[in-house]
Amino acid sequence: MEFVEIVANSSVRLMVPLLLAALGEVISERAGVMNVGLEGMMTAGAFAAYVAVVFGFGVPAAVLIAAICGLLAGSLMAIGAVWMRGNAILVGFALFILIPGLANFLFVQAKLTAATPALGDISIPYLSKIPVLGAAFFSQNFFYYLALILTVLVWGMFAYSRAGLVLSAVGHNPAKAETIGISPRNVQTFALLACGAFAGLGGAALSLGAVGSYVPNIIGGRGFIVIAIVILGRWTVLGAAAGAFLMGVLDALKLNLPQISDIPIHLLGALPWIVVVLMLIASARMRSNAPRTLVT
Amino acid sequence: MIVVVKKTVDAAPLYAALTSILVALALIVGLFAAVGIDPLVGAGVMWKSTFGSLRTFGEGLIRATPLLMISATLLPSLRAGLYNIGAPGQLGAGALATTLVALNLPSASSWVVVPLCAIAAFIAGGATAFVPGLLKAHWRVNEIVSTLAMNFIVVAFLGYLLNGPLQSDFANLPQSPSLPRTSSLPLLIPGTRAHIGLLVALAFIPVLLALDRSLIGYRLRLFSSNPTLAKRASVDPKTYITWLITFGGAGAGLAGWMQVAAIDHRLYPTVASPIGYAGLFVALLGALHPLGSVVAAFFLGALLYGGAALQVGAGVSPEIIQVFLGLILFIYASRPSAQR
Repeated sequence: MEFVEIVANSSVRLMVPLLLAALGEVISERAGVMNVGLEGMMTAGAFAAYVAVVFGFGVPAAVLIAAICGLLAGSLMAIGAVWMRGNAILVGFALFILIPGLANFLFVQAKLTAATPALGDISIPYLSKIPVLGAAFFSQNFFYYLALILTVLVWGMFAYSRAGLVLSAVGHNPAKAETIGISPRNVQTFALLACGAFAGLGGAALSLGAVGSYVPNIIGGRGFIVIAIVILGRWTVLGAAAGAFLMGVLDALKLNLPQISDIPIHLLGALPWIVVVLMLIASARMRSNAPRTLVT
Repeated sequence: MIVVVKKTVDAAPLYAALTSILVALALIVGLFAAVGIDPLVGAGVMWKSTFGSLRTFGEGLIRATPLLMISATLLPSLRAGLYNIGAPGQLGAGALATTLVALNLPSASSWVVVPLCAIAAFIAGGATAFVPGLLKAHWRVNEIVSTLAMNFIVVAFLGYLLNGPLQSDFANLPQSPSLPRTSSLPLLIPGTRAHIGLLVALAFIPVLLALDRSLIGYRLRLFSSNPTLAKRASVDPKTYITWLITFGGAGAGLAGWMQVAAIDHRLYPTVASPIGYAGLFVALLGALHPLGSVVAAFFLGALLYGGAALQVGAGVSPEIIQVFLGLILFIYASRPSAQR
């Protein structure tokens, strides 16, 4: 059962970037902002973390820098879509073009080629020895545990804290939220900054954690996959986590199926996207608890 | 009930487009200075490489042509607030259809092959967009994600075909055999590579202008400004959503036909870059007006060619064009009147 083990392991590893970014997107969409710029924010984190490690800052500093660069990208979205009251979808699309373009430009212009050192796996004693699935779930790099902790925190925030209520209130009815003294503008700004920071971490988890380098267009549409995950997860944290895991499995199958089957490798590239379209069709039939001001 | 749909030629988007370009230009100059490139050298290289001779002017034109084609057919759907970002995939589908038709009719006359290729590309591009359109209309599937998904699906499919059944015997590269000469588009200006595709794209402009004054145009404006009201006036939103997105895809398919039949004469997987997304920019920067599209297409066409020349002339990676486009769109979209 070697194959199952390999697939399980890379599923979890590839899930982590999606999960981190999905947490951010849940926050921003619950506050009523459809953040199409997620791809750009993830790229900012992936590239910043890579550059930081290449220039010798060490991994902890690189992770922090990735979160900050993601947050800065999020602030662009906040400026364009919330403060300037621009067209959120087009601003997001602009970031999807702008930030990968900037990262690719700097990457090529600076002639960076170095790979980053592999991150060590942190194994949980005993649990990681469980056959087949133990290593996948209990022996992963730092980003996996970070993602799990943040998932619990964000879930707790929506379930139990005032902050979660305020976010949802703004997403459902900004005018009413304003009458009880909440500033929708500030809340949405916060949501986008948080979303950017999460997406930046997700990008770092991809470049440092899963790939171990940066290549142009490294995110490869994952930002949009995350948007689909959040829609399918009905804007809940647990739904998003389940979706991230599903897409992680598909990503892992895409990488590993050619070794055991004759399915042409190029056709497998379409697999996650076909599932994304099916997911969106399926989610349209579910009970809708979409944030009411969200334009989808 | 009398429905008055306001229709004015609004100058504000035009100013917005111009300011966006100027501000983006200023930021790019800053970026150039930051990475140690003399902006004046860069500007000089771009100017000379684009307007230096008739040939280079033609190179700008052949890049403007597919942009104009995509933006012209994308306009109606953008006006209705439908964001079809699937032009790269639809363009790829059109290019594939052209390749298949041309390769299977090696001995037919140009008079047959050229129009057949165009029709096939038009249908293939339209079909690629029809799926997201239908999904949006009937199941409210977000068209941004679904059209983007189609891009990746088409690229995967092209990658499969060009590394397998459609690969040329000539070299072990992901590309098709070269197309028969009969499928080539006639040239427009001698001494350049500018082709009659430009006339095809331009032909859509008066059609769109006339459409604006027709019953369909009126219904379209009604639908774009107020879908609920439109539904009461028995303008079915589902039909309009489906066919608006499909129409945009069909135009992108034609752009794919032009790329393969007139420029490259063979199919390869990256046929849609970088013009795929740029078509959307042209439509937006042209303030969603057909004539604006013409101006914006020539501007961006020159920019794309000049940007490629920057690498040779000033040692700047061509990715800078993507940064420039992103900046323009960011500034353009970040104003209250861009809201809908």
